[in-house]
Amino acid sequence: MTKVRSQPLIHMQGVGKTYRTGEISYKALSDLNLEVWPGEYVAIVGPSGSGKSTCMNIIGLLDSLDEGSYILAGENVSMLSEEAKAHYRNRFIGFIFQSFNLLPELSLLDNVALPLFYANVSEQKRRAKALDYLDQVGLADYAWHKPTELSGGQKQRGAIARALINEPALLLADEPTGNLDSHSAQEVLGYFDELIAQGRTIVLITHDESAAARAGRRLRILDGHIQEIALSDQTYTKLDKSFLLSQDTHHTQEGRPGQNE
Amino acid sequence: MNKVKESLRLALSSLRSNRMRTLLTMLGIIVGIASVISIVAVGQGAQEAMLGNFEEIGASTILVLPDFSLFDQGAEISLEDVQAIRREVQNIRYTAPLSYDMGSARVGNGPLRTLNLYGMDHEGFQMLSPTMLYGRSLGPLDYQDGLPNALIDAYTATTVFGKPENALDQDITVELYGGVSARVHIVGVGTFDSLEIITNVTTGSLRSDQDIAPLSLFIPLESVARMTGSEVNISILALMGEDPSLAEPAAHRAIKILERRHNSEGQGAYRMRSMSGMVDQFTSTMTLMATFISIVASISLVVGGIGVMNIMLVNVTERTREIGIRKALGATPGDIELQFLSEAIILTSLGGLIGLGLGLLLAKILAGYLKVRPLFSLTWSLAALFFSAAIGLVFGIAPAKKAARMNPIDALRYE
Repeated sequence: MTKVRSQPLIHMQGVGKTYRTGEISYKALSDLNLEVWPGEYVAIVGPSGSGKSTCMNIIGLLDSLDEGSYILAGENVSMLSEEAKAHYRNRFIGFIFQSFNLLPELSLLDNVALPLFYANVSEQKRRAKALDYLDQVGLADYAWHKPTELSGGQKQRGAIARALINEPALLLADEPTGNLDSHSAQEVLGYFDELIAQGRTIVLITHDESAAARAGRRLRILDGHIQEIALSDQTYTKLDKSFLLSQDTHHTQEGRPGQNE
Repeated sequence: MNKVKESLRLALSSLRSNRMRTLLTMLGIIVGIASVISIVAVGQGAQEAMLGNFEEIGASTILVLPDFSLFDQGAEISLEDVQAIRREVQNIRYTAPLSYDMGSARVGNGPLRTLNLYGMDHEGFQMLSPTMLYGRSLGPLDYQDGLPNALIDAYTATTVFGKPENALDQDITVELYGGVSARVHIVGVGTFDSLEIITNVTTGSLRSDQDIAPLSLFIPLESVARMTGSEVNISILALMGEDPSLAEPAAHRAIKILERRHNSEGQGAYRMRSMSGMVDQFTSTMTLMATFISIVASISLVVGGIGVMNIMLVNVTERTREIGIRKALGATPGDIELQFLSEAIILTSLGGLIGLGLGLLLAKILAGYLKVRPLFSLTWSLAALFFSAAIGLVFGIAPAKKAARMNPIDALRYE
């Protein structure tokens, strides 16, 4: 796993994104600033249309920013080509989607191994590694099953294995519990807690406030701006507070209401 | 290279997952390739069957034919004329007279058939060298004594008697024009490939598709004379030169002799036909036919390619989400393009392979029906496979590029 301790994993400054359809333009993000440090568990919440999906797409290099800068793991990824973005996604980012997004014609094993295929790892090595990761999420017995033969919870665990297999610096989870029953949802969130304990970095996009509450930091996006930060004590201590103060954002510490008011 | 190999494997797996669609998409390619392969194989086989070993003699052989409309002006060839030509014309290896008489014949209690009776002398049979399959060829006694012994070609024997060997030792009652009736005894069954070119000048192909197949028999010229009780009527004189360059001058000399002997100088009573010219004409006709049919088959291939492109475009649309997922996991536009292009190339190559197999089978069936031996060419087979793959490359590019250019966000959102 790639760990960058001396600098933030994600550093976004003045990021703006505008969508244009004909003569109509819509500013989805405006002057957005965000830092995520290695080992952080950050939840981004917000209503529909707030820009949180756009924010996630830019973090995940699925989309390009129109203004500002984005530094990922020390590299300026603001203006990369499609090929370069694909390489960064493969190496640095593990995606976990709401609808799992496992390919139905591949076995679970080959689904999990897919990022390694695009990393040019040989078939033998990637299948061996995929089996190992499936074992870690308790799905080794289902390696040769097709995704259609699995439950929602099993599919999401398989997707988590896939997201981890290339040992990315960042896990980006978009509504990972959205299509799960409560038991499976708790299982997945519990697994995220374990990953954080192992030192992983997770950015979670969610509507679910209870899921967001498990994160060390909560950001609220509204109208393309990050407006609120809620921090656990531990996370607040670690942060560069000059960054926070310069954003003129309202933030509260859990258990310490109004400290900065 | 690894990625190319794995992309091809991935492509195969993807095609396997929807076999019916894959098969239907390949259909145009299969039909196109099968048509070209079968037609070329049968055409080349038919060409070989028609020409046989004729090309060995064709280049050196000229036919001299009397213009029978000028018969009263002396346009005829007699056995004595043949002897005179043999004596006086140099540089001829064979001087082969051929007579042709038409009549009717009955085999046992079977239907009355048209009879084509070809008379040849010993030198004629030597020149045309039929391949005997059953029985014997005609010998010196047959020619000397004018015995009513005949040879029959294998194709006619099969058509009339069921099996070629059944024709052996059959006695046939023949009736020639002029009311001449006789019995002919079949002593041998063979193939007369080289004769086909000559008979085409008189009666058409030995292979007939009439409801009641005619009977073609080959007997000594002397036997014809005995049957008819009159002078032998020589329809064609085939002259084979020692060398291709010597045939035409020899033929001119022979014509001069004939005109002199029949007092028909300057009347155009005799004409020449070059057999190599006829061979060339036949070959070019066959080539033209094969080219035309290949063009039509190629159009089928192009249409098949357009079909492949359409299906691949549908495929890309249906797999939009998959494309988005692959891109999210790290597939570059190049990876996606390679994946879909591989599928198109494998699709058409597989179609070409199936078409090749089907074409070989069709060729065997068609050739059996036409009674020729199909000739399979490695060059054509490899060309067919190469062209199939090329079709996949050309018509797969547009869908592959469409897939590669897809926006991953839109693709991931696609339902």
